[in-house]
Amino acid sequence: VDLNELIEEALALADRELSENRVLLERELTKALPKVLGDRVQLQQVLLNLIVNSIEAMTPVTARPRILGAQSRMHESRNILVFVRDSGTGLGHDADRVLLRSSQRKRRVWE
Amino acid sequence: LGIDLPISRSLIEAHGGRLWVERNFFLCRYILLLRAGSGREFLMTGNPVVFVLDDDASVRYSLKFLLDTVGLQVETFDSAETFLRKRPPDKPSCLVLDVRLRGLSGLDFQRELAARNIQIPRFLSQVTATFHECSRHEGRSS
Repeated sequence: VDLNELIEEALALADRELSENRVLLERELTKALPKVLGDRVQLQQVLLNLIVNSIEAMTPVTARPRILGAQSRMHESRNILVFVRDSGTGLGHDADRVLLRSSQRKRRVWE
Repeated sequence: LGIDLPISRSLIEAHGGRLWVERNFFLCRYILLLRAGSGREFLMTGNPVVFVLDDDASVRYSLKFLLDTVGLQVETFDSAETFLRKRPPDKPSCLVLDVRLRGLSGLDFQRELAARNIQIPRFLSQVTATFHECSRHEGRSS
């Protein structure tokens, strides 16, 4: 499976969400990455999930541009790294509440 | 739209990769790490095994011989029933299956696998000339 191809496909699937939420896209895909062996549909679902999560995390952002970054690159020891990053909710007047909520969510989701 | 994070993470781990998140005040970054490599390299990790299912002893012998020469671990079975009696191991494996097995046929066997929720990549071997006849009868309904 070509991960860059999958990222592009997932971005295309999320195209409506991106434009409806006025999210800018920043791609940094490394060309000619080695392929990954895996289930195409499952990996695409995962990427789409990360993208949609990031878009949703940016809905409260109004004062700054909403930017979704998608990056792929080689990592030592023949691994491929994919980053999906968002410009987040930032530190505003409700920062404590946001941080608290996000750390709770993080715990629930990742542990 | 899409699937949630715990499922995403378990899917990635099933692919031998990792998925985690980094957050700071201004951004949130999901990091996905997947192992690059060809199918062959993947096959060579985790002691993969090839199951050969054929009721013809000479086919079993020659397929095992062929796969042995490329360094693959091979286990042969003379019928679907024998295979099903043995629980498939939890490691990378694939199945080379004769479509015209005695007893449970290759296609019935695949239905049986699906019914037992056993997911294993498989190749139907078409060593007999009657494959087309057989697939016309059964292939469409499976």
